[in-house]
This record gives sequence, structure tokens and C-alpha cells, in this order.
Amino acid sequence: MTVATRASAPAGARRAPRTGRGLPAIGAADAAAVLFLVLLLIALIAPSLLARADPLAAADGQGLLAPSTAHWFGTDYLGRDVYTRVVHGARASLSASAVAVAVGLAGGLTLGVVSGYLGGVVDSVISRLIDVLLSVPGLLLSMVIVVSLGFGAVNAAIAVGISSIASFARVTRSGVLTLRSSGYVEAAQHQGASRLRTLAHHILPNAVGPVVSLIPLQFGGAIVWISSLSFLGFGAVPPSPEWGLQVSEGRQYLLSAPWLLLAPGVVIVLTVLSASHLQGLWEKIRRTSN
Amino acid sequence: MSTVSTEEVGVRPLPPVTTPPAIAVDRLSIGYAGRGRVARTIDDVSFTAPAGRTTALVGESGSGKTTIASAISGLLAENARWLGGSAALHGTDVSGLSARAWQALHGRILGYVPQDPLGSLDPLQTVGAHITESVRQAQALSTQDARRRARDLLETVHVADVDRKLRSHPHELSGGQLQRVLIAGALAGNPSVLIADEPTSALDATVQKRVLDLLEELREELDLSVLLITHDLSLAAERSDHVVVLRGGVVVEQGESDRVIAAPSSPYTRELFRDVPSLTPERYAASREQLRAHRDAVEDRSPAIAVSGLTKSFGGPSPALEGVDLSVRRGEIHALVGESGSGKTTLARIIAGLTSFDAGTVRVGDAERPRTPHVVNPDPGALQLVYQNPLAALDPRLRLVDLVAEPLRIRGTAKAAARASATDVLQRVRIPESLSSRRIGRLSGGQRQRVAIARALVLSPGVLVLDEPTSALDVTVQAQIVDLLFELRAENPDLTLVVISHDLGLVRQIADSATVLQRGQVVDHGRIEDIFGDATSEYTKRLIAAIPSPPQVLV
Repeated sequence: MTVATRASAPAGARRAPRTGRGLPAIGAADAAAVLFLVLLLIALIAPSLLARADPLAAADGQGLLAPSTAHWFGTDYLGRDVYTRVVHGARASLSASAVAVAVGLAGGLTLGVVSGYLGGVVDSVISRLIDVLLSVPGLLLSMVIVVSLGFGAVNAAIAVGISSIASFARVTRSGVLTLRSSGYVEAAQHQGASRLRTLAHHILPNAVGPVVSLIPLQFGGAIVWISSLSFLGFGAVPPSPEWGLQVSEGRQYLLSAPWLLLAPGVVIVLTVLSASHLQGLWEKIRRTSN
Repeated sequence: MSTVSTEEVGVRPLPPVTTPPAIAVDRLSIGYAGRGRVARTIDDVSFTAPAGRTTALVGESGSGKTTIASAISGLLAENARWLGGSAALHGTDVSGLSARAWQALHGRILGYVPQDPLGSLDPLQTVGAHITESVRQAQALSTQDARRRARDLLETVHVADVDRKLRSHPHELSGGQLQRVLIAGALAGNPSVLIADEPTSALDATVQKRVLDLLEELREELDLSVLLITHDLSLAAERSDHVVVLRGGVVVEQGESDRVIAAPSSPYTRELFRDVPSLTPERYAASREQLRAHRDAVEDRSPAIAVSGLTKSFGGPSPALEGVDLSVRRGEIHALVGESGSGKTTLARIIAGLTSFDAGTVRVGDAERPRTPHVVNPDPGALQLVYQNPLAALDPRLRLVDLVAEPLRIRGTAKAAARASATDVLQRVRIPESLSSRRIGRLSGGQRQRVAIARALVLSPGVLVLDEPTSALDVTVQAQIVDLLFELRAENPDLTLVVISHDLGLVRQIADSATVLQRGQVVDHGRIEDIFGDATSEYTKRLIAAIPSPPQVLV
């Protein structure tokens, strides 16, 4: 799947280096990233379109087969098709990351706006809290949270989300701080706009931009973290297909059947790269449209 | 001086004149490449700048004056394309010279004084290091000699306390001093031509006058030829021997300054002259007379704004405002005049209820301002402030119609009704309806100011405070904005305007009364005729003297 993406992307992208009017220059890497993310989206919504087989179906005597035309990514120790499992694993991994980003975004926006807009003691308390969150290694923090919430895929996602609140809050707070003293916020209050109206109409909409562009980056990070938690046994439970879990299972066959580890590993790497690339593309579009 | 060029390579055949012109531009065309095509911005421009004289290149923003200056000085942007014609310095053809060839000319033949002093100096470098570097680029001197020369140069441009200034960093100097430093740097290699790109547009009137005096003095002493680039025609007429008027990349008029002032041949030049406030003090005389008659007929003589004993300190060594008294009659234009740092913006902000104050009383209409202002303005309909920079004071995300409708929406007017009123007001300030769904960033400077005024007008306030409403605009656009203000007064003769300005030419043209501030204190106040007729303070006299006044009066 990934091989096909890589090969087909540049051909389409090279044709339009600078089409001008309104659209930024789209490079080969941009096109590849978008295409890969489209494939991921299909895997998320309708995995059977990409992989017809049952991800849980084991086949006797078919264990640990090397990649071939029948099994693109080979098979695992139970004879399950790795390609099918990677495709079906997208749903668990991606939706968990989405939950994590949503939790981080909601918490970070709230904390950032409250701390930046109210200032004073509230700001000091929240800012120190953010400092603490940022000073503890994210994975460790997530593990502590999972342990206190209980094991499982959803809890792992929430834990990763809580760990990423700090980054969102920081960016939001700095945006709100700048805007709070900006000319047009003062001008709105000169027009008699209440604090709440100023916040809702002028501060939030203008502060949200940089926070939104943080989402793809945090999304990529969340995939890695959630996979790490699953790898360590804190997240998804076997036999359900999940990328981190698959890497963990493949670890024992690293020398005899490296594809078990490489296939989900490479997909994780590509997903993260595509997501962060999407952020760059987003920034470009934002700058052009301004 | 003028024999410099004969050894240079590529001398163009010139008519047998004794001294070739300092600058000769012949059928010059320049375009900028972008989006796959070249847009022509300079079209077939020809002019000469006589040696040993000052020539002014005049035009609105976008007229191409800076492009021409860059072409003459080898500083064209990378995407600029030389489409035809030639330019020569003292008879030396400089069209299409390589960067290396320019290096030999820069400093030695040509000095360039850039537009933005603070942006042109390295903030981490001392002034001394900057000038020394310029000296060493132009001349092969030892570090010692170069330093000595830097010191001499600063003395030449009359910087006081030279040794301390040499060790200073740019942010420690005032705008006028920075401009002098840049001039000193441009003079480092004893050039014979000095190009000054809007050297004074960011400066106060009195400082502007001193910098221009300096340029004139240097021209005589060092036998320089000066090319002065400016959008201010009155300044050009006063300070130059020869004027070239540009519009849209085309020369519309050129000639001896005296001749151009006395009998401008192009209608555009005449229009430019009409738009300069200091040249047409009587432009609004009829309208002002009418409004005065209206004011005198009104029985209610209670002031629109009354300030007494106002004192405000920001904690510095001297207060920002000290014992300020001020009274503005209803329906007047009152001007707050002073140089930067005189406290005029602080005073306006206190009147608008945006800044706290320490002592005194401030009344707007019947309401007294509290010493610590409300965060949220309780009565936006009484007074509206139009900020100096509309771009900073208007939300970049909102459409024009919503920006103007916002004050009404805040008061609870329904969306459709608020938008309808906003559209009306935008029409009154001549913003076409086709622009109403644009955002503020995509408008020109004059349009932005109109939108800011529209937003202030939508609540029909009794008082409008305008902070330097035209200081960032060309004279033509400035005249349009002032026309608009007088139209608004004609519609509502009771509208009181407080206008902050450092341009006394403009103040004389539009204001009924004025308050002159110097370092936070009122040094002159009263009716405008009295202030211009017999100003009591030296400061006011100096400000009045700094109004550019061309030698001949225009009819």
C-alpha cells in the first residue's frame, strides 16, 4: 500500500509547481502526505475496501510467512495476515489519537484562555501547573494516569490527551495574552462590548488559528505515545489489531520475521510524517489566504 | 567634483556641455516580475538632475519614485526588470552594472539615505561601528583613521556630544539623530550625489526642518547634488531647485521649482498643490464660516469637553500631563498639537476614557470621567475615538460591514438592522458596497481610515476624537479624508471633533481652536487665529515656523 503511494504521488505533484492564484505551491511530498492520509481515512471508515480478509482469522501452518503477493506484509505467528491487521488496526490507533487530541485541545484551550484572559493569581497558578506538566516526561505521566484510570484503549487515549494539555494551553495562553492588549480588543471595549463578548468575538477566534495548526503535530505525537503505551501493555488488549500492540508482538520475532515489527512500525512513521507535513501545508495555505 | 567620471568605463557620448548633470535618466522603463509576467511600474521616464543642486522626485505612494531611486543607485529588488532606457551618474552610464561595479560607485560617487532609520541600522552595532564600516567600505583606511573620519562625519552632520553618540546603539537615539547618523554614513566616501528617500516623513515638523536645513547646508559645503524623494509637494517646492512630479510611473511635470509653483502645467500638479494644507489654508473657509454662524446662533453654550487641572504620570521623572486645562465648544474642531512625546495622545485617551489619571476633572458632555476608567465603556454613544492606526484597532477577521455593525450589535440591535445601518454609514464615507464583505487588511490606507471613521459614526456620537487621522496618508488621500470630515459636519453641525495632529499646516486649515502641548503642559490655547496671529510661547512659534512654505505664494 505504502509502496504504491510513494510511486504514484510525485507524478501528479510535479505537474503543478506554481499554479498561482490563491493556491500555494504544492510539492511532491505534500501530495504524497495527502494521499497517504486519504488511504488512512479509508482504512478508518471502511477497512474492508483495502483488506477484505478477517484480521483475527488465524490459519494453521501459515505462520511467519515472509511478504509475498498473497500476503503483502507476510503473516504473524498465528498465520494472520499482517497487511489486513495493519489496515484494520488503523481504526483503533487513529480513533485513540483523535480522542487524545480532542481531550488535549479542550483542556488546553480552556486553561489557556482562562489563564491568559484573567491574568493575575489565576494565571500564575495555571502557568505553574503547566510548567509541572511539561517538566514530567509525557510517557511517564501517561502511564501514571492510565494506572489510576485503569487499563484499556480509551483510558490510554485519555491519558495521552491529558499529557498534551500543557502544549495546547501554552500556545493558547500566549495568543490570548497578545490579543488581550491588542488595539481592536480595547477598541471593542471602547464600543461597550462586555468581557464575555470580547472574548467570544475577538479573542477566541483570533487565538484559535495557531492552536489549530498545532493539531496535526499533536496528532502525530499521540499516535506514537498511544502505540508506546500499547507496546508497554497499558493500552489495547490482544488479539484486537492495534499498531503499537503489533509492534510489541513482533518484537519477539525481530530476527526471524522482521516484517512483523517493520510493517506496523513503518506505517506509524509514515502517519506521523504525513500528519506533521499536513501542518506545514496548512500553514502555507493560511499564509496565502491571508 | 564633476570631473570624476571621465576615467570610468562605459562613458556615454554626451552633448558638449561643461558639466554633465548629476543624474540623467533617459526613457527609463522598469517592471516587476511576478506570477509569470512583468508588470511595468516605470514607463518611459526621463529627467535630469543638475549638478550641485537639489532635485525633488515627488509622487504619491505607488508612483514609482522609490523604484527610480533604486535603479539609479543599483539597489533594485531581485524581481525588478530593466525594460529599457538608461540612467547615468555624472555622465557615467550605470544601466545594468554588475553588483561588483556598483560597489566601486557606492559611497564614492553615490550616497543613499534610506527611508526607515531604525530599520536600516543594525540594532546590535554601535553608531560608531556603523559609520566606521561605511568609511572603510568606501576608502582603504586603517581602523584608526576610519574611526577618526567617522568622528569627523558625525561632527559634520551636527550631532552633539559626538564621543558618547559613537558608543550608542540605535535605540538610544531619537529619530532626528538617527537620520543624521544615516546621512553621515552616506557621506562616508565623499560622494558627489546624495539620494535621500523620504528622509523626514517619520519626523516631527521641527525636527524635519532641522534635518532638511542640514541637507541644504551639506549640499553647499560639500558641493553635493541631492535627489530628494518625497510625497510632500510643499516640502519639495520649498527645498529643491528642480521638481519632477511622478504619477503611476510616468512623469507628469518637471522643471524649475519656481516655475512649477508659479504655473503648474499639468492638472495633476495643480491638484497636488491644492491638496497640501499649508499651501491652501483657506480651502474650507466658507464651510467654517457657516458652521461658526451656526454655533453663535445656538443658545446652549455648555462645552462638549471640559478638562481642568488634569495631571497624569506614568512613573517617569516628569509627568506625562501636568495641570492641563481644556475646553471645547460644541460643534468645533479642536486640535491637540505637539511633537511626539508631548502627551497629546495620552490626553486624548483620557478624554476617551481609556487611560486613568492622577488628578483633575474631565467632563464629556454632562458625564464626568472616573479616574480609573471602566474596562467596558458604559456610554459609547457619547464619544468615539478613531485610533491612529486602523489596522491595529480593527479585528482582521471581520468583514467591513460587520466591523461597522459591531457597535450596534453590542447594543443589542438585530443583525439585519445593524448591517443595514452599517451599509448606510459605509456609503456615507464613500466605501462602495462591493467592498463591504472584504476584510480590513485588503484595503488601501485611505479606505481603512474611512472604515474606522464609519465605525465611530454608526452610533451617531456627539464627539469624535481622531488621533493623527492622516499622518500615514499621502496629501491627496489626506485631503479626501478631511473633505469627508467637513461633509459630516455639514450634515450634523453639532458634531464636535477633536483632532490630534503634529501638522500645523493642516491644523491651520481645519481647526477652530487648538491646544498646544509641550512636555505635558499647555503652552498655548485658544482660537486658531489667535494662535497663528500672536502665539505667546516660543515653542508654538517654532512649530509655526516649521510649516513648509515655498518661496512663492500660489494663486
